[in-house]
Amino acid sequence: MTWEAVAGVAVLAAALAFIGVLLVWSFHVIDRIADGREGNLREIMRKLRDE
Amino acid sequence: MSEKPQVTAELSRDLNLFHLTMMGLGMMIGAGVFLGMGVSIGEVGPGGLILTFALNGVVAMFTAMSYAELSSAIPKAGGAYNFARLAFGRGTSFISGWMEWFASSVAGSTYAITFSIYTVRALHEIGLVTYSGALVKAVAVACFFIYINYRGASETGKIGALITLGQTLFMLVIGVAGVVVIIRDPGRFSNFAEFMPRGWVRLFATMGFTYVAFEGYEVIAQAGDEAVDPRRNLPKAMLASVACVTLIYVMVAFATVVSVKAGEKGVTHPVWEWIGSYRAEGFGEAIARLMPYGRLLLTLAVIFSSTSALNATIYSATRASYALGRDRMLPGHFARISEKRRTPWVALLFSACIVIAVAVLLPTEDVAASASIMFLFLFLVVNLSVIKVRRNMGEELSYGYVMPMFPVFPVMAVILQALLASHLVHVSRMAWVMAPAWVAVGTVVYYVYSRRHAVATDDEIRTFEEEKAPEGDEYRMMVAVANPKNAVQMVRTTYKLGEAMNARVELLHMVQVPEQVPLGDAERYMMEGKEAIVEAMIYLSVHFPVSTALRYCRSIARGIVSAVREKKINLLVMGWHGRSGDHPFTLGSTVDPIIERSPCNVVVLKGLSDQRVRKVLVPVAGGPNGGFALEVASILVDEAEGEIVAFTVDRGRGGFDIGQFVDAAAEKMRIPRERVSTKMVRAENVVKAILEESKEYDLVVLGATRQSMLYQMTREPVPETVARMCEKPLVLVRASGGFRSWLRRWI
Repeated sequence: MTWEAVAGVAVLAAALAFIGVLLVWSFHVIDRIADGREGNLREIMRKLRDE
Repeated sequence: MSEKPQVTAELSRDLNLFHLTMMGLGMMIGAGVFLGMGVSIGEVGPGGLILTFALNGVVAMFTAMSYAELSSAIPKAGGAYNFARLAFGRGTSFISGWMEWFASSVAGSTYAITFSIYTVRALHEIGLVTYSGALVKAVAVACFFIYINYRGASETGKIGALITLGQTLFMLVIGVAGVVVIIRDPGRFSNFAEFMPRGWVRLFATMGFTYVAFEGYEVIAQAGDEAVDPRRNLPKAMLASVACVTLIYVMVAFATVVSVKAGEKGVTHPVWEWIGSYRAEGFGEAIARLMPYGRLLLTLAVIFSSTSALNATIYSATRASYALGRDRMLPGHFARISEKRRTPWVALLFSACIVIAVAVLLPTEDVAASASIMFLFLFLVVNLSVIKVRRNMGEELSYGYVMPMFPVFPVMAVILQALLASHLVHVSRMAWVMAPAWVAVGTVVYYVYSRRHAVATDDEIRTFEEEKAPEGDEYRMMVAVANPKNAVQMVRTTYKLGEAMNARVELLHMVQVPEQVPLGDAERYMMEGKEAIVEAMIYLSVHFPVSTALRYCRSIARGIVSAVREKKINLLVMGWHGRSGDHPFTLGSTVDPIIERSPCNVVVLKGLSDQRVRKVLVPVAGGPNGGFALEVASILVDEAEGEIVAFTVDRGRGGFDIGQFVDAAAEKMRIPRERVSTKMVRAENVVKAILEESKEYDLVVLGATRQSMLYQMTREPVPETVARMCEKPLVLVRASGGFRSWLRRWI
């Protein structure tokens, strides 16, 4: 494999992993907010950080 | 005679997470991806093709997060138009909605034509029709989906969901076929031998060309009025659809590369170049060789995808023009909803006219490229909106989702989308003429019609009464007066500041109108404010040019910051009752955001009386706020007998030279150095030490923390804690200047 291929596969894996992590994290946050942590920005940030 | 009861028609809420996700996928997996595969592989080679879609997925995810956050907080039909209206006001929002309407309509006509071309070709091959029928079919299929949209959101969502499900399955079959082929014949990995033959920079070109295949979150945002549990389902659908479509595109791109074996009959070497030589039809040639009935399967996939994308774009265009009509940016007829079907039928009718007219009259490729530019600019506006809305209205909105690492992702998205939009000039020069032309027409419509007729939304700040003094270049000081009881007391104290700065004074009374009361009925809350303004004016107008304003809005903090920006104020003076009360705020839900966001010097007064100020304590620990505190102290202290003590607490770590700090501040602020003495004590608890020391003084002046709002949510800053607990009269100050203040003025 050329260095370009190795770099390309690494970028591809990183991109897909990044999207996956963001998706899972975001779903988790949406569910936590919907589960009794509704409110304005400050309230949500405080509640999420307090736990 | 009895009055006829009024029937208020509303959009029905029946789109669930599945429908919404499918709507997004349906808009994304359109004709663009099929055309883009062949063209892209010829430009960037096999590795570049896969990376094009993977990296576009990352950029799309950034914008999807912005859409998700805004939609969860503002779940209304209108999407980008609504977000821009909250963030930037009427002008920008109208142009956003105007671009959105056109871009969606034109994308719809592109899909209608793609659909008809493929179906006619399929039918022609079996001898049923001639090519001349393509245009008629394009109009016919557009009419069919216009009717489906008229039937209602549920039908739109359900039929669209079924079609999208079909097309997604087709795409997955192609992707899985690629995996099966490579397992059976690993030798095809040699197709990747030249991974990126023309260099990495070309990736920007192909990303720009295919980015429109990731625009599905826009149609999901349009469904804000029709979604079940929108705060939860809208953001989930947006993020899920981008993640799904990226995975599908990467699989299909992989299948495209391995679809042909090097050395196969009729295939020239290298394979990527052979596929690329077919340009837009390269994908079809590749899939025809990948599996049995490949061409038929692809034709079906294109028909399904164009159909669902057409359905989604008509829906999106209709909701964009409906939102413009609802706010009277366009004539109110656009907001009329069918009582029977609960669909905005007039907006649909006008959108349908654009879809059909463009399909019949204009060169589709150039118009489609201009739609791409408009979509990119629309996304750019949304990414800027998410930053501004969170800064200005974070405390007022109820969020269902908040993105991480704010504002890194929206800023990156803005930069990348500007790059991609600029690249489209290489694809179609005509597009860069048509897009500005449409925007120019929109600007004329705005100034001729929309600006006069637009109704104020509940989130706007309105001026009730205003008297202006003659303008000059003086230092501008704004005094926010709250009630008549403390207005005079506060203004007497601030008189000294105005005199020292040679200022003109703006007296502002901001009235907060409860959510339940329409802003139009806000007059009843004005009386107290009028009294306060009159009291303050009697005292101040003798000495200074004074302007007054009474304004009302939903949030006092936002209203004051907005007035500061609008009137280019240099110094804001306001009172504070001294209680925090509103957890999780440090000084309160009004004072905290004002200190954080005002792009000017801020002085907050607590418990000041008429007595002479002989001894002032100024706790300092370096920084511009400490210097400004010394300046304010030198103005407020008694001229004849006054004494200022700059005070610092050494926790045994050293590093801060109070003498040097006071020398520098005195020189910079032109404070008589001999009036300021210094004092340092050793203590572990800084707050306790300051509070203990303050008992000996008439007034405490201290600089606010320089930490951000987010920092303050986790740790209680020393100055604000002292301000809350101190029993002596106190002045809390924050100095403007530097990059952060400049940014505050603009964002």
